[in-house]
Amino acid sequence: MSDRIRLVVTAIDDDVPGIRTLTLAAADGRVLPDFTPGSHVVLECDGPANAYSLTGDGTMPTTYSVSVLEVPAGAGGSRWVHGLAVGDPVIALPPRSMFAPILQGSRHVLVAGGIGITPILSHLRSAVRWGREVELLYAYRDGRGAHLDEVKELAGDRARFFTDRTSFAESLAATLADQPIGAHLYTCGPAGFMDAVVETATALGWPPSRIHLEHFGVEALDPGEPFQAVLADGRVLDVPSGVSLLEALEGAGLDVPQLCRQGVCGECRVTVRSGVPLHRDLFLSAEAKAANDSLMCCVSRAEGDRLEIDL
Amino acid sequence: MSPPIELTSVPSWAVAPSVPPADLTGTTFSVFAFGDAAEQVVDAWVGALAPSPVAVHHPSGTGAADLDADLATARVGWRAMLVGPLVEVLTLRAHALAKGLADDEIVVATTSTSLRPVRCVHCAADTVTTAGIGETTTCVCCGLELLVYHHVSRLQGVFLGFQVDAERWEGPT
Amino acid sequence: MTAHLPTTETARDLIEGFAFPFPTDQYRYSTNVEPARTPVVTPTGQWGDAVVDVDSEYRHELAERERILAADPSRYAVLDHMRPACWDTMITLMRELALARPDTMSLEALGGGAFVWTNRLLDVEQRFTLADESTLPMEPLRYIATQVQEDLVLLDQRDDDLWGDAGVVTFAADWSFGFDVGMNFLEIHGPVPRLRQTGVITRAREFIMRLQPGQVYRRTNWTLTIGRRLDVSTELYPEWGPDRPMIQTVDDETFGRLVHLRTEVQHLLRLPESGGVLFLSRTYLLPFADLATVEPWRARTAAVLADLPEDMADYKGVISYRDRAVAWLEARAPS
Repeated sequence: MSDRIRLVVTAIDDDVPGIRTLTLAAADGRVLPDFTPGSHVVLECDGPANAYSLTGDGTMPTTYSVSVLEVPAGAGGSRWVHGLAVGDPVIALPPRSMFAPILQGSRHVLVAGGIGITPILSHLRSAVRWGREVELLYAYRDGRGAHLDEVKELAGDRARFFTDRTSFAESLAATLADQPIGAHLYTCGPAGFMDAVVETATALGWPPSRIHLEHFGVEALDPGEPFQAVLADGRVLDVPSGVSLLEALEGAGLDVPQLCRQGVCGECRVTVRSGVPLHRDLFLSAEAKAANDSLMCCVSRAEGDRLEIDL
Repeated sequence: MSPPIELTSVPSWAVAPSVPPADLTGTTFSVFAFGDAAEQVVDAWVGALAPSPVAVHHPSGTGAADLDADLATARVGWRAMLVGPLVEVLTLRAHALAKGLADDEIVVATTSTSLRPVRCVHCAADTVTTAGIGETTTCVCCGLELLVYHHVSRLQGVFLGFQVDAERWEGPT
Repeated sequence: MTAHLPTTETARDLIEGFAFPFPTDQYRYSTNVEPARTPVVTPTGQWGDAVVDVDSEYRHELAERERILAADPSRYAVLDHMRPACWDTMITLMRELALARPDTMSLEALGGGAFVWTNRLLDVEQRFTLADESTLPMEPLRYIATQVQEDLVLLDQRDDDLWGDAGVVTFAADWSFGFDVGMNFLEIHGPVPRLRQTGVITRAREFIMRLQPGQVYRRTNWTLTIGRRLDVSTELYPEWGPDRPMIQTVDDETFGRLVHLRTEVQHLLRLPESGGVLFLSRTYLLPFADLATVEPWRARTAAVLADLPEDMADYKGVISYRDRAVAWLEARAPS
């Protein structure tokens, strides 16, 4: 995880109550990595890292923009964002795409609930650039609608706005009942909101291949909990959160065979003597994982606080 | 020497007749039926889908025109259900996919798999043959003896065929 | 004889830059991907510091591609929805070419989506506007195929799968791009033995689907080719197939000059704007006669060929002359 991006807060917009929009630029002023519409970025903060959708243009970007809803009872990420000031440093992992527009779609129906407008906004931007047929339904609490002006400017009369549940539900059903073959549906919002959208679409016969969801959770590999690795010679290595076991082993001077560093190639398999691995790779079969006698040290970690390995 | 068919691009219904149940997750349906043997399947599907309306077509050609006509007015929720001998359904499925239908919007049933369409990779002509996978047939266009390979193009609706006896050397020329 | 007997010596840079594909004495299919842009030092030189590689065969191979495309247009295909991915590919490869050959190539952004592409090796200065096809002499994927030696396949990612929906493939090693267009990843690889059974191909698919913009990975593949023939596509099998029995009849000197170790260096990149995946395949051919002058390469190639299981040797089309190839290489061991 050495490819962290050092950012700095260059602007803060608190116009919408409870929602803070951060503009972030590279600390060294360089162009930031490109990203696919619908991508999110993981920001490191106090406590667990949080993923936020990127709302801006992904081609040779000079800034990243994220909008964060304040969740006073949440895990802390949103409170941390709401405590930032212009000039503060922020560390990000590179953008990840798990909610891209479907190129084959002949029509794109975007459905946003509340802060779920954020990835939808970058879809809208891309649709305008490529002349894709697009339609947006945006439901939010009165006075709490983020990015309203931007959406109106990009979508014009292709966007409809809702502040009450009944008219939203009626419009959604009518919209989804009348889409030509080739249409795709994208939704982002609170879990209950997305469940309702999917339920409406499914009842109208929408097949799974035309329905796309963005969950707010970190689907990318999270930094994980810290643990200790005990080596065959008795040495004990600390593996902090955000550092892989492979990196820790290399740091201790061990030469571990490795290629992809993404849990795919199978090179860095390590035998486990005791302790339970937390498997996060794509290489080991379900059987091999269940045996718990080896792990792929580039991505997998420990279930508990100690893992004894044969190295 | 063919690998297990499920590990290849050849659909299982292209190897042996196969009739899946109707797709009850759809809301509107069109059935494209080829040949007398399809009627039993059509009846079963229409019965299972009742009371949903089902448009049943018995195309005289490839069925592409019928499918296009329904597609033009169809809304998401529509399912295309194809039933008949392999050559006909493979061809119409290719057309449906090219028109943007997804795999989970198409149901395919085969009533017979004794004939298959083979694309000559050398001259691009198609030959319909009784030769099975791993057997050979003569290209109707260029006359080369083709091996019917365990490889099917979903977009072209054909098996791959290539010259079986190309590795012959009859001395310096 | 159909194979082209080389009349000249192999150019120095083709030997120095040869991507020798065998890390060990045994070859099996594996998900042998590794991060790209890191040079691999070999006994003759090095390869792999750039994603696109321009060598002394540049003009010749580009001309060869044009000849092949003129004779058989099916080697190039773009399904309609891949338009943004084709633009993405062109911009991405222009950036990579400029990185690889900063002395002769550049891509300059003029603002407002306008760019100027300069390639002094081909005397090209092309102004164009992103997403406006009328500003290019041809469709962007077809255009960039006139600037890179690599074969190109664009994969669309949808429905939890990858789809080979566009490409320019003129230097295929016994497969048909035109036949495979529109297939998903597992379908494309269906003919290759062992890939599915061993899980190699499903892992590769998972890996590629998780690839993020900015990440570039590479792997190598290999086979043997008779003659310096880039186009050994299935389409032309009747042309090159007879070389396999022919090669068993030639004398030792001709055998060494005709049989080539063929390496494909394949790069995988995520295209940022379209979300597609670009698969690049660059073909390197080295005659056995040159291979045998590099002792570690000679010994290892002999070992790998001798060990290759029947089904893999059959699929790679080397089964009929594998024994001769092994004997030829072993006979050249230093005494």
